[in-house]
Amino acid sequence: MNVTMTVNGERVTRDVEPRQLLVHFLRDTLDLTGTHWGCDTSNCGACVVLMDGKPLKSCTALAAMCEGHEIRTVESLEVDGRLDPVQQGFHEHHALQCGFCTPGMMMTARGLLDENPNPTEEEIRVAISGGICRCTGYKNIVAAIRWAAENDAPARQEVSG
Amino acid sequence: MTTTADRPIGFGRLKRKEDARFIRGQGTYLDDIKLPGMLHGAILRSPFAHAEIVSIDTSRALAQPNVAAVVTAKDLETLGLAWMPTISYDTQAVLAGDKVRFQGQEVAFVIATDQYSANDALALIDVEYEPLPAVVNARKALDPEAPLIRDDKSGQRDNLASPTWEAGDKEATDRAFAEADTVVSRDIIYPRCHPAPLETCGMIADFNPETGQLDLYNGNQAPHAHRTVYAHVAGLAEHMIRIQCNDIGGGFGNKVPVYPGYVCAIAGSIVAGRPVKWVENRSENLMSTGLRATTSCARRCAPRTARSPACASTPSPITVLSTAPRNRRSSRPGSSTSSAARTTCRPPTCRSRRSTPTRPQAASPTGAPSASRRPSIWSSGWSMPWRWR
Repeated sequence: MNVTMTVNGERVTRDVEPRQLLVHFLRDTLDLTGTHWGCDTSNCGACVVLMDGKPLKSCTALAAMCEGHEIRTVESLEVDGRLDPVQQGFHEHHALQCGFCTPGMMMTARGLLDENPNPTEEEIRVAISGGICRCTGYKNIVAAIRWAAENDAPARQEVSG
Repeated sequence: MTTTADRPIGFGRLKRKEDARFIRGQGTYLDDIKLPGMLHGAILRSPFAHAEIVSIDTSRALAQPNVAAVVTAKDLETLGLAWMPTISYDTQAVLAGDKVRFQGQEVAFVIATDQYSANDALALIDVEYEPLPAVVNARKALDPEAPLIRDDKSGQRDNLASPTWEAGDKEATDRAFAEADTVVSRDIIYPRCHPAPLETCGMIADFNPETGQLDLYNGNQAPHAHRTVYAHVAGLAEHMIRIQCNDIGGGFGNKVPVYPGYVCAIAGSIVAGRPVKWVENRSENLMSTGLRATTSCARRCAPRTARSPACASTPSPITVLSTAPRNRRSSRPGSSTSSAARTTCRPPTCRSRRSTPTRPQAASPTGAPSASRRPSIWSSGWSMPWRWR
């Protein structure tokens, strides 16, 4: 069956199996391997992307369900060579080690900050509670997202200005 | 005056170089790699912990249009890939032949043009099992009436699978226990424990039949050891095997051993003449890859005191391994024993040589050993005298 969606600002139409998961559509059909697959049972959060701005575990959605929707993956965070504050924050605060959970964590953070630009530590912890990090732990991830919140507005102004 | 803030110690704060690719989603983990003509593998696993395999019929799976091959233990025997060594000085069947010996054991390997088709074909392999009594309790595994699981090993009479080992000076240890004021014994059960890296285990094998070169892509923690194992198993020279470890999505020890799925991918590539990728799913990772099984330990602790010179002068490796509370009396509620008093010899009533199979008690703050009396592997000159036999 044909499915059409917007992925990272680009409209794509592909012939997919009705049962194909969004995570496999992104990784195998579109070669966007930044979105990771860790459990396919919606436990680990490595596959989180944004669907219409909201975090979505892409192993829980079929590609066919994304007809007409807008998907954002980790590959869209950097714009014209300028890192998203979330990416910068993860680097500044050593919020990653093996990097496998990182795209899901960062997309979750991006979704949170778009909705709530100044989240408390507790709000951040609730937001990332659907993701598992097995290396670094969550303290630095929370700090990275706080850093991004504090540096988000000026960075955006720079990008738009 | 220059402060450490002006001139940090060493090189100061270093930023990670690998972040640049990870925060952009540009890492190269195993499943990110695609080779031209690559096929995909999936493993059929045993639903039984212990069962005879009466028959395996792969004809329905092989009839599927996207299925390239189905590999069983019989096929591996003809390739000389049926058995592989383990890191515990043992051997392991790559695919179960006569019987399965644990739940989740690998029984057949399907190779297909895509992952979904490979998984579909698993349901079309007909395996007839004759279930046998299983051992599901570490404590009961050594009972005389427990069914023998490793009957494939000649001379194996019980379920003690790993080699036994001993360490330290037995005579000195016995003396230390004999002269200790208090001996505490505990049985400790460790539950099953899995490292669970976020990226599961997997392998891409690419065997070139023209040159005999075997290229492997495999995020693992011991590529050199793996290469040696594959050379032994596959009968290839080590220099004809090249292992590429790119980015690894966590390991924590889970990616040290060689797993049957890796050898299956190699066998699959030899059979199909094309690269074969196998990536386990999360259930397979938790069920069948490196973990610490339920462990039953009997531990003895002989605390040293100022009045037990034998203990103080002859350190016992058992002492440093122990986690049991040092002294039950001092952890009693209402105990007024002062720190100074605790360094003196206990009265005879304090002696306890009985095994006390109760839950270990946490030492109370007042019962905590002082730093100077705490047994230390650093102060005792203790080394690693492990001796395998």
